[in-house]
Amino acid sequence: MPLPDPVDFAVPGFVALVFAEMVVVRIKDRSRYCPRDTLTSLALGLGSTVAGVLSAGAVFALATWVGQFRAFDISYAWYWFVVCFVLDDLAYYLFHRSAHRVRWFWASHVIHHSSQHYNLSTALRQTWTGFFSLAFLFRLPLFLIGFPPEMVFFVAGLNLIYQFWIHTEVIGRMPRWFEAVMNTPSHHRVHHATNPRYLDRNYAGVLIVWDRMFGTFEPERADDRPRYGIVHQLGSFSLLWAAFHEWVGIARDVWRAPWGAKLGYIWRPPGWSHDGSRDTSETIKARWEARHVRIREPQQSP
Amino acid sequence: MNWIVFAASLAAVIVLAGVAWSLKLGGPDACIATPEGACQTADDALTGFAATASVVGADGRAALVVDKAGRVAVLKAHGARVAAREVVWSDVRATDAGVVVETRDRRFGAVRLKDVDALAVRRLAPQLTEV
Repeated sequence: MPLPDPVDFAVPGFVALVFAEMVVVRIKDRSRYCPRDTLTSLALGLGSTVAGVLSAGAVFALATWVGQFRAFDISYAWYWFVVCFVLDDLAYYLFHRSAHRVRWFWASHVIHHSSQHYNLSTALRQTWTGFFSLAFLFRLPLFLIGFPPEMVFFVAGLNLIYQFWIHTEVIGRMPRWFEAVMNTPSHHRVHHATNPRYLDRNYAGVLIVWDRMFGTFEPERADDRPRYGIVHQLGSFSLLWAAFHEWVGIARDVWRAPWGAKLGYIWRPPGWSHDGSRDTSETIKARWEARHVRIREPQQSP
Repeated sequence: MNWIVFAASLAAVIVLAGVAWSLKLGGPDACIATPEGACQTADDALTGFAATASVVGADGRAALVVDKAGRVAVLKAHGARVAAREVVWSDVRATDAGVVVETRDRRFGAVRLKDVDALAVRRLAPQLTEV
């Protein structure tokens, strides 16, 4: 059953909402957008779309091949779309968590976090190397269960569309029931923040319940405003550097590392080093927590 | 995606970037307003950094910050935000146009602190090596 790519239909809406956000920002706080940053994000988004088209055939062929070994024959009844959407969102959570915890996947995903701004144009700053990083592996279980590839790619498109609107500072908090179940601008601001408290939190795509279930949820706090970007800010608007810098970093590290440590620079968390000379999110958090405790509990004089 | 969608997307990219420029988004050029602000930015950007003093370029687009352990950070305006790098003292040098800091990162580039002289840097951290 051929299904349309919902993202194609959403693009005019993306453009209109970015424009609307720019107008709001012009009135409220002009520094929330930067023209060069916006141009970089949008150009990276366009490049990502082209990269996706180039690899779509191979991904669809693989999905169809894997589908031969499916456990069930699942129809196109509406409720299967709902089940597929939820399971695809779980697969997204697992992918996204891996994308922050395994440097190989991070090298592809980092592009999305490389802006120091957080606005709707940031949502469009997407990877060029998703296929190369093998990110599609995380969806293969859905095809093995028996969901038709067309259905999976359709709900994945809906998932992507949902995630667009949460990339904004214009919206504060949604109603409590909504914040409890759904990923929201507030939850996703935390995910994009480099504040130690917020590192490696809120991986959800659509349903924030996955983070609550798996212990990775962190609420946004008024006394710790998110600072966006990556721990080691690029300081450059270069498209190619944003798209490939972490791959270059992996290649350099693997080349220089002693034999026993080479693979660690690929599959261990970003920031890992064999001699402990760099910071991972764990060491950053630990240092921050130690300092935080010292500030809250000043030493008693004898 | 077909060629029409691609062409329309490319046009949208150009139009939106043009709108951002025409609305003058990004705010003022000088984004490092005070030495205190520079210290706070360095503390936020670099793990374990505890700034004690800083000097800001006359145009507010760069700053040099030292911490209590002798670590040194350079800040530069990056669009409407500020990006930081930890550097070593030997990469800080005085020129006629101000102090220049090499970051050993080609994309980040060297950072110039406009109208900051060697004396100001020595005052910043007299315990450290000469500029």
